[in-house]
Amino acid sequence: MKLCRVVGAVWGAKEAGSLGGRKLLAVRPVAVASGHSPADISADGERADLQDGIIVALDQLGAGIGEYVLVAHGSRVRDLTLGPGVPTKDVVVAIVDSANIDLDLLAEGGAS
Amino acid sequence: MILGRMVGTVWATRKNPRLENFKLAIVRPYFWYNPSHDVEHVIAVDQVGAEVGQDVLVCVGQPGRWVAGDSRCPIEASVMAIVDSVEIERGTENAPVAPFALRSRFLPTTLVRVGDGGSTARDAGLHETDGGTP
Repeated sequence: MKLCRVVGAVWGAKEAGSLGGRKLLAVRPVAVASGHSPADISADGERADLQDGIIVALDQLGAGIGEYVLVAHGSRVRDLTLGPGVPTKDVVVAIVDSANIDLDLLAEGGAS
Repeated sequence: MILGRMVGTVWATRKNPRLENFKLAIVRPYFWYNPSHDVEHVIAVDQVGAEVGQDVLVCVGQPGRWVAGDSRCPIEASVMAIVDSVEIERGTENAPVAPFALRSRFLPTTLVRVGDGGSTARDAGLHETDGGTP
């Protein structure tokens, strides 16, 4: 699972029938080790640094833009949450209330 | 399994029902293999009681679900163990083991270097940068 921020929504006028009109979100993983992210991450707080690249994840929980979510990846995760036959590998499994990261622990060269 | 440092925790109330009662840890891997989205963190379910700052072993994939006690929970990774000590042959700790090891000198806090440093990463078999197995 990855900690991600919802940056947008995706709609398709024509999409695979097996998607069943489910909601698709565009998310970007939080770059926890970038050195610029805040220690406390929440939708109301200071914006976290994000990694490059967008993941389109299927959402059944109703996350909104700007919220942080946990996105799980894999066909097993898809089978366990949506059932087999849904053409996606990334699923939103939780909407994050808050996350706390100890920034000191991310320093390079932690061991001497 | 991957070796990483627990750097934080996540709280969520609205979540998949099968994630209830799981403690979620943010782990930064020291040595990653074949990351699915090239991210530098992984959220793992912690049932061994690891604390922020400790080195942990994280199991990715289906065995991680077995460890979590519910093979049908939609998770990707579980904390399997809290690491007391890591021994790496001297000189190999900065070998290009994985993409993130290449970019950083982020190393286990519990690292102990052994040997005389005469050998190379190739000798230790730690030079693979793609593929690999858990």
